Amino acid sequence: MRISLYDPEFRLGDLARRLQACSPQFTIACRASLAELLAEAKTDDVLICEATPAPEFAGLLSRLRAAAPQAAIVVLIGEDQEEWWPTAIRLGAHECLSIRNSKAEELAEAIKRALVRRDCERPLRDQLRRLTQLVENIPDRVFFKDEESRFLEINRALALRFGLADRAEAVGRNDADFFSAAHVAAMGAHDQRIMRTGEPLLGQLEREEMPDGSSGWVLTSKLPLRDSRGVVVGTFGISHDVTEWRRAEEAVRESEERYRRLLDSITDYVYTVETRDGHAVSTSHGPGCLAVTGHSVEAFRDDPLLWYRIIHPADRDLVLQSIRRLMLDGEPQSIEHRLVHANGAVRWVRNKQVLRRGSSGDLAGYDGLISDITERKEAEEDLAETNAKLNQVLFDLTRSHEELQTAQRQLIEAEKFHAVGQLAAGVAHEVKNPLAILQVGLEYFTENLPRASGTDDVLREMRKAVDDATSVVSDLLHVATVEDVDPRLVAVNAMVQEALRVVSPSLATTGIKVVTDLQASGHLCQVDPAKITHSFVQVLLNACDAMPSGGTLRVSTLGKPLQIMGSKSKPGDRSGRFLRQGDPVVVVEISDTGIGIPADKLSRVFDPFYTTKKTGQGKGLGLSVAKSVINLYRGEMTISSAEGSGSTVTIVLPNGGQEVSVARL
Amino acid sequence: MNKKRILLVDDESGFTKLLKLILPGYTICEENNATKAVETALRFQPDLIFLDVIMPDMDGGAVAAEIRAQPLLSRTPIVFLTAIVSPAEAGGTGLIGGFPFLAKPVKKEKLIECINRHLPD
Repeated sequence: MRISLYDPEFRLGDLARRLQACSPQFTIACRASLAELLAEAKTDDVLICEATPAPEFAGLLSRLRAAAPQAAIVVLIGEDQEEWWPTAIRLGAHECLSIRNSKAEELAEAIKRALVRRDCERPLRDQLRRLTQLVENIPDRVFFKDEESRFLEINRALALRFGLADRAEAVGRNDADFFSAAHVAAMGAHDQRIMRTGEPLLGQLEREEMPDGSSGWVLTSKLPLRDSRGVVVGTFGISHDVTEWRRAEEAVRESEERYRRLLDSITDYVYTVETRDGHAVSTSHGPGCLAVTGHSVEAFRDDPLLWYRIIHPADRDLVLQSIRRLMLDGEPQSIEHRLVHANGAVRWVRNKQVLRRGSSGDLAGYDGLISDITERKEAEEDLAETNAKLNQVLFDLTRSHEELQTAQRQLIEAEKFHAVGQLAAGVAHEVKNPLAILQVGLEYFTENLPRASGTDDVLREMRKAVDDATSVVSDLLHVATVEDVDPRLVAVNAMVQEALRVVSPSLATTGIKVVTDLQASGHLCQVDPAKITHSFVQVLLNACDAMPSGGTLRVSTLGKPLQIMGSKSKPGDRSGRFLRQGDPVVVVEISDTGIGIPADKLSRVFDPFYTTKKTGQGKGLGLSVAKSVINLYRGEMTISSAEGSGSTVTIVLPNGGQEVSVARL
Repeated sequence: MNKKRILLVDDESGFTKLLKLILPGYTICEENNATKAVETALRFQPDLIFLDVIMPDMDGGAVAAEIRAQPLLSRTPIVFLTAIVSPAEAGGTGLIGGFPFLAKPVKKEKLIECINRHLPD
């Protein structure tokens, strides 16, 4: 055992020799200078030095402990200086001995005790060092406070927080010196509570506010500080700065909130179907499924067939076919179908599916993307409906327009007739009176002039001219005054037959063959028979005129509901001004095999004074009068013709009833 | 046998003159002024009156009504002889305002037929 004895004043040589004598196991060396002592101390087991009550004493002990932390230190206290013992022990000495009683045996005993104390003290010092290192180096803030909440001690991290260069500056000060008033009040209450109850406050999240306005968050645990008897004498605690964590947490919360809002508004979601041997064994649905289907992610997870049940029953085959195609062809599929929401509403979705393979390339299932397209579908349906309505409106408008055009045409025609009639009525009167004089005058000449062949011829020609003029004027008056006076129920066939009888002389002379097919037997019309018969006669004469070298005249009658030609016709369609589809009518058709009328002239054949014949051969009033008479009785008269092969005039009259009325007449 | 007496009322003097010429078998009185027609009729006492309809100053209808109002003339047949007769006015009845009519221009045979119908021997 090596022992160094610090003896700068050479007073301990004797003691060293006696100690050596009684303790031969010691290897004792006297050191005359501090430098020598410190240089050799590393390998010493014991250092013995004389204590001098001077300020440098503490410094000496501190240097010794630093130079030889393994050594036990024994201090020899001078006479009458025993009050230094506790100080020496506190400053690091292991044992003290009064130099007055410095017998070698006693010193040997003191050395033994110092060694024991050194050995006991080592783990404590190690522990203290570790704790000190912990408290000093931990980034958390550590503090100890007395019962008045004054700082007893703070660690470096807290000093840094307080902006103190030396943490000793904090001792004796309190929270109010470092924090804002509001924060201080809260912490003071905490301290008092701990002092009162002895209960710790663990994991308190506190918002720190500094006088400069800066702030932060700390997670603080505070505990009661007890003395050796267990009495609470203050508090201590540790604060972990969680400002960054807190900010990150707020950022996360904000992000989650945004994500949640996004999810709520999102109407798309992804789903995954796991398959085994071609059969779906499990599904997982993305969070958007709640908004679209009303079923949660968990509901889909717990019920493997839910996905199928929510498909609209009418669309299930469609979806299954799509899956089948996907599995067979491997081509991505995209279909639109309906889902039934948990609340019963029907929603339209687009369902895109794509195959998924495991890491080994095996078929693992498929992934799908559901997009809610209900609004688009509804918009499309609205659009289609609107389109249909618009089309209907357009159709109706077109029809109205056509009807208007027809009505306008007929109005113009009626106006034309009216104007001609007005003119004719005036002219007729002025012409008829002179004609009457000429007529009577010719009668006189015929009776009273001497008979001579030349005179007779002249008179005959003059009479014929007056007759022709009279006839023209009469027809004009017909046009002028086509109005009803005394309609009666008359059999159509009877009128047709009467008209044929009237024209039979003309037919005979031109060799025209007549074919009749009068099926409207017993059908009646409410008309003036003389006028209608006259109209038929005009049409028949016109037909005869069209066949100057003979031909066939066909006359047919038929009673039936009106059938308007054309595929678009439907109930309510009008034919001309008066008749509608399905009205009961009698149809009279008069056809010739004559020269026909050119297409460009066909539309004008009913105009007054319009004629295709040469001047003098026709007056151009016959068909006009006939048509206006037919119109008078709410009938229609039309003509069709092919140049070179003949014309057909069709007269349609409202059916006034059947034979049963004849008896009443 | 006395000739039948016929009064012709028509503002067209040429027409009445010629009618008189071709009806030599009758005693004809012409009156070309409608307003004097009643007076002339009362004086002439005709068996038959042919009456024009459209005349200046007074129309045939009014003349006919005045003639009918005279007790001495109330049974005298009146026939309108007019240029304005239209099929509508004829109305299938052969009457205008309750009177028979003939349309101008009229042929002699129709005139004779009409006279004979109203003045049977």
